[in-house]
Amino acid sequence: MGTTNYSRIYTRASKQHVWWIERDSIGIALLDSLTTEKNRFKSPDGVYEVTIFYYKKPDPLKTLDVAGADLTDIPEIPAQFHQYIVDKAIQLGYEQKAEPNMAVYFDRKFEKGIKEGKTFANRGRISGSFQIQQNDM
Amino acid sequence: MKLQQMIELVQKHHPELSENEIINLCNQAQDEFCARTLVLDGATKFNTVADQRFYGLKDEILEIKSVDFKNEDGDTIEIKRLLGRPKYRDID
Repeated sequence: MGTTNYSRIYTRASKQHVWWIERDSIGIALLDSLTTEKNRFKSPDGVYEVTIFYYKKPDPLKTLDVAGADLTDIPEIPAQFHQYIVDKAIQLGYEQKAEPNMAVYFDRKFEKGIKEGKTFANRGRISGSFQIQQNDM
Repeated sequence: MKLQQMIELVQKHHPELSENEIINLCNQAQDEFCARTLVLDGATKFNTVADQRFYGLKDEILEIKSVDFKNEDGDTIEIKRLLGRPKYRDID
């Protein structure tokens, strides 16, 4: 009859790595929910591979005074939304010229694109990450 | 659509703007579009360091969707997000 490794059972039941965002950094620690609050979080004790999946900003389009600028560049966002980027740029141009009626017209077009973009982004995505609340012992 | 085409479309309305000014407007527009729709995603990997709790994030990250952690058994698992932050700090 084999012996039971209670240490491993304890570890699996009460300890897990968690992450959070703080000061523009990601914090990673081993959470032991059965210990005192002061010792509840421990920094990683070695080298572990971490992969972050995230929503990102687009790569900026290079202005022509920057090395490697190319007018044949294509924006990173999906092609069906490129016209909305143009609409927003036109809107911003009219705002600079203080032509509010035209600015509002192109803003409406851009907002339509935002709506379509949100629908596109939500299509076929898995649900978000779990969250766990800290509790006092 | 190529950048050249985008510039030409904007110039029909704003011929006084230079190409660089229009490119800057397009960058402003696509930044807002992505921030509001979360239409682009990416992934990045790094290794933890012993006793180091915090790791800098790339500027391009708008919002983290999930985090995977390869544990000592070699299994890669999704780890949970902590609501808030630990009360006792380890500023490393």
